Amino acid sequence: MIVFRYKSEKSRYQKEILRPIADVWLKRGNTWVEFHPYIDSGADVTLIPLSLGELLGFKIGGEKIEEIGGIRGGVPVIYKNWQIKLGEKVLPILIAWALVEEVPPLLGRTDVFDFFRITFLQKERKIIFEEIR
Amino acid sequence: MTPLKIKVRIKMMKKTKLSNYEYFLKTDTSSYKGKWIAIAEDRVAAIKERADDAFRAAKKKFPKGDISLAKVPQETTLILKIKT
Repeated sequence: MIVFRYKSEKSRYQKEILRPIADVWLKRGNTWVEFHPYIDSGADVTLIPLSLGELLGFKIGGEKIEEIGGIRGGVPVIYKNWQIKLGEKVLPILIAWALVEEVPPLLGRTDVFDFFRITFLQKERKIIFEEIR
Repeated sequence: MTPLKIKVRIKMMKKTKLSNYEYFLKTDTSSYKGKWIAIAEDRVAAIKERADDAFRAAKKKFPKGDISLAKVPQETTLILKIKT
């Protein structure tokens, strides 16, 4: 079982807003890079901004550039199959690498949510990932 | 154990380091909106426009330290918000 936590952030509209944050590692060569994306059950896919992809070694090659939508309009992305680590669990997942910087890093549903039973306990400021065996 | 040694041991126990994740959760990052931050050794080690720049700057400061990255969102960045 992996337990993630909420982070209290300041919002223009409210004094405080709680946002669920994950602690994950992305493969970078022979090592891993730790980062803290938002856990977004409303996101179809895990999304990372341009410069994080470049740090991981992503390059714009022959892959098709596609557009994914949000309420602010479309974002050009390239889909990559990549390894992510949550706790001790290493998963091959699909990542949408945004070709712009102005997107939030999101841990989305595709591949990730299939492996866990996920419970958001906002009042307790916890998000519980239980591995499905 | 002498009282002095006990005091030193208690002080050391109190100074237990946070993980980068715990540090990020506890830290007010509102002054870094739109930036990438790299965390290492219980501090924000680098603040940059880009993740790769933040990572490399932090690695330079803490070559042997564990470094983590987070992007602090602009208020307009997050998609789902309460309507006002």
